[in-house]
Amino acid sequence: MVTMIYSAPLDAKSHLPLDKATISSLDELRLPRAVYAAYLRPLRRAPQYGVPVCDLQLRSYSVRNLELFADTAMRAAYYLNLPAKGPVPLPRITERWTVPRANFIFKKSQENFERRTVRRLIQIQDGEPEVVRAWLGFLEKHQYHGVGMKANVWEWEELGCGKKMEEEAKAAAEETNGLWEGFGRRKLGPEEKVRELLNSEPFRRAMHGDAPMILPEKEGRGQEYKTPLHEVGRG
Amino acid sequence: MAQFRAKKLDLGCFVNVRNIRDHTKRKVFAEHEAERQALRYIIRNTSLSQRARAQAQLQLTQMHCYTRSTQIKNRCIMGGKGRGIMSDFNMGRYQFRINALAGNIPGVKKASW
Repeated sequence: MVTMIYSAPLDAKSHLPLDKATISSLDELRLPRAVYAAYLRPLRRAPQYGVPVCDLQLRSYSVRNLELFADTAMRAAYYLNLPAKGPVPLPRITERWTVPRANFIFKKSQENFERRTVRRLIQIQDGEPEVVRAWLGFLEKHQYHGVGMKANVWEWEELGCGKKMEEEAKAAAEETNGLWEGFGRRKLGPEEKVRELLNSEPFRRAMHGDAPMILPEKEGRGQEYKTPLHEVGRG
Repeated sequence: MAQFRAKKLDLGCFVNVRNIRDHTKRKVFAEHEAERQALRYIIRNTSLSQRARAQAQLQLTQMHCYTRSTQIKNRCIMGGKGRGIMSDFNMGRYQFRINALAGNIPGVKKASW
């Protein structure tokens, strides 16, 4: 332990450095426990039931950043009273690319590149959902450069929670509808657009009358919608 | 096409007329995707009247070619090359090599195993 503590001179006369006895006695003083814990492996709480609540996966291309951040996450979990398991080293992902060295032909001389993604998994057990969220929020706030995070969160409900869940789902859908509108692949059906198209003038004419099929009126196409002749007479 | 192109440059990568064109096509496609899908749905829906389906076919064929997804082509963001683009990095292979050696692509190093 490194403790070099020099107290500031109390009065103007005692500006000399401290004598050896004082220094050695100061050296013997221990650091506060919380500070000293930073030099040791992170402490962890023991889970009572062992029900997994949150799986946090950390990914990075550099082991040093990843280790540091995983350590921070473990300490944060300890001080939030969350029993955490890990960090479990998951298999690293190696991607390789081989490209010719030259910009044109000369395929015989190539070069290999690779990207290794290292991963760590931290599992939280028996945590209250609110605390887990606080933990995740803390980690998100203090993100470390070059470290990505991905969390799977499970929440456990009481029995007979169906009604409550329905209400919550409704509220959540309202909140996220705008945010996740474009997410996923063709999840949004074309219903609205279809309805709009079928109610449009050319379609209505095509479906409910004997009018010829008509090109829709569009900007920039220079084609105007004309009322069929036999309808002009009726009007 | 000029009517779709942005008045002000809205592209951050290597600028090239072909890159700008591809970018424009992507935007136009995104804008009209719902309409295309709706028309395709009407065409395939056998419960609708034949006339409505024919009308939808007519409209779909009349849509601008920029609204088609097949018009989109990946181009090198560093040099504008149109062929042999590495989809992981959106770059041509030579640009990828140059940038990887310069350390501009996170995590990519020379491999030896």
